[in-house]
Amino acid sequence: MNTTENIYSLYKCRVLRVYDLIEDVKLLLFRFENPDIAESWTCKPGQFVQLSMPALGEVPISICSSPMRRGFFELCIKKTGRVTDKIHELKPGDFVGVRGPYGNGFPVDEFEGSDLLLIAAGIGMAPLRSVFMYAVDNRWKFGNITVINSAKFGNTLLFRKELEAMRDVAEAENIRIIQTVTRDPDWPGRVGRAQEHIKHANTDPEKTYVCVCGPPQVYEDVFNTLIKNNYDPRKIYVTLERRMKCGVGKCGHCIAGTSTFLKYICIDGPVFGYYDIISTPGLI
Amino acid sequence: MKKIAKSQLNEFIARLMKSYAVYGPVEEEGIVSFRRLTAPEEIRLDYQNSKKPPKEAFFPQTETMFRYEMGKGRISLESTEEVEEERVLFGARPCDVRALELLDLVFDAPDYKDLYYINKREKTTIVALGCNSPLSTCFCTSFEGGPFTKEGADLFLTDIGDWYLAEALTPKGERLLDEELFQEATKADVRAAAKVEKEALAKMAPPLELDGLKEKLDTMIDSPFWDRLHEKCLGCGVCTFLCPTCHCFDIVDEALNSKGERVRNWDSCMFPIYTLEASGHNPRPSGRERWRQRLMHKFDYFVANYGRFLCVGCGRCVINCPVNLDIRKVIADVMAF
Repeated sequence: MNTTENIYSLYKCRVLRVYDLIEDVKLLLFRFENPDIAESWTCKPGQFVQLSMPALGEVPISICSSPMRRGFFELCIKKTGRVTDKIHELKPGDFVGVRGPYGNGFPVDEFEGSDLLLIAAGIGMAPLRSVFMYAVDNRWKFGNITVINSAKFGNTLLFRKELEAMRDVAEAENIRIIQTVTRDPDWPGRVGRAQEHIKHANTDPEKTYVCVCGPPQVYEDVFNTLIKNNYDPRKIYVTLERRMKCGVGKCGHCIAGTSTFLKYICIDGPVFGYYDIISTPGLI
Repeated sequence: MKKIAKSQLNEFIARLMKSYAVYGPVEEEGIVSFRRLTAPEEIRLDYQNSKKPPKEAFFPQTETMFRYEMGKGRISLESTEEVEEERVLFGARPCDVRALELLDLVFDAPDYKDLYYINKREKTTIVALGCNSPLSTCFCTSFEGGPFTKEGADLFLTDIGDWYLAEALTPKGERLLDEELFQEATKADVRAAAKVEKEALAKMAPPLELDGLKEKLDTMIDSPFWDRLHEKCLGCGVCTFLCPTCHCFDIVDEALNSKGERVRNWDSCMFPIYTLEASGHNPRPSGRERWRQRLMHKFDYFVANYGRFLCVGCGRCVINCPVNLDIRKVIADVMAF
């Protein structure tokens, strides 16, 4: 009788590679087992999947790779609990269940023709990497690009080596990569919080889209600095974290409401515009 | 209009049980809830308001979503959303039946369809039972309902003494009207039903003033109103667990060795852990935000999304709250604030 697909059913995925990034954070490469799914599955930068570990449960994780590569995707996962502990034990060849992609993602079509400023704090680079990789893969669609990646210490800068290794490409492609730390006296590079480096970006505030991701405490200062530097608040986007269970707007966990509307972070988010954020108490 | 003698009720249910899985109000250790009947005698229709709402016939407190078995390098899954048997939900109160229509809006949404709920819903015929003696905590008339509202029912029964008056509202309900057991109702029976209904309505408190409640709440997201409301609340979550319209759930895996199940359980927005993120950040850190969320979801957001209040006035949250936080009073306080 059931013609509709069960929204909670899983796609089987094979782990292909596991990279250690920083302490407690790994990057995993997955491939869909079913060729039809591998052919047809698409996602947008900023969307997320529900990753299942049998016998342990599901976790919502942002897609970390460029959507341009069919059949494969990467997830960057920090060890923070029961499920993610086990994910860290995965080895190439192991299987997991995945459903999704969910969420709205960044409006990358709208970004076309504009400059891009990506601001990451802490492990914020994980979801923003999908936007960055997408922009690199579609370089001709965008203007100047700056990535500001910040963390407390040099050895907790997520994707530090990858971004360093892109130096030549970045130079050739007019991409500025700024990596900065706040508490590391031994760090030879830039220091200070992410927002202190907004002035070093190669982006034109008049025609730049900004994507921000970091711990809840960083947003206010980043917003203020952006606006002080003439960035257009209508073009600032943020991707948020939430405790989520269903991912499809049923289970209620991620609901946030304002005076006039209800937002399911899983469906209406996790990417929100600046005005959504400031008009919705409790959204961050 | 038909009727059935009360003395024939068990026979009616016995016949239903031959072709349907019948769920009805059953008392276990003093708690009335809807269970699958194993014998007609188990049913008790003299209850006033079941402790647990019949939503659990469609959205169980604990429900297996699928089973799995892990072998070496492989895993086999068995999904459990299929519903084979036709079902009858017998003796649900009108408020609880109307609540299902609200749950439909969520689980049978156009974009994502929840088959676990929808399949049970499609396979179920609902026999509703009017309320001759509403409780002092009932306030269904505030939400366009009433002790004899027929919305959502397939067959509607009214207790008129020695008989139940039976009105089939859909072809599904019509199908249940066994010719040997049901007979035509007389004009006197219909008059008796009207009298019962009138008397029941007279027992109801006047409806709450709800005009402008949503608009009022629209302006209250940062209001000091929420600052003290929650102080008395223990955060036990009973108001949401026993609510026929609350539909939040948690998804967990339960496994032993190589076999396991993915299970969904009722959850409650009144629990602090409900929104606690892995990082330790909690967007609803105190009772203030949680109470605001519960009220706003029911009387503001749901109205904005679906045009209806997420409440049917069953009164379970009023009866069962251990500290007597009465949602009727909270609504009145919001209106007066």
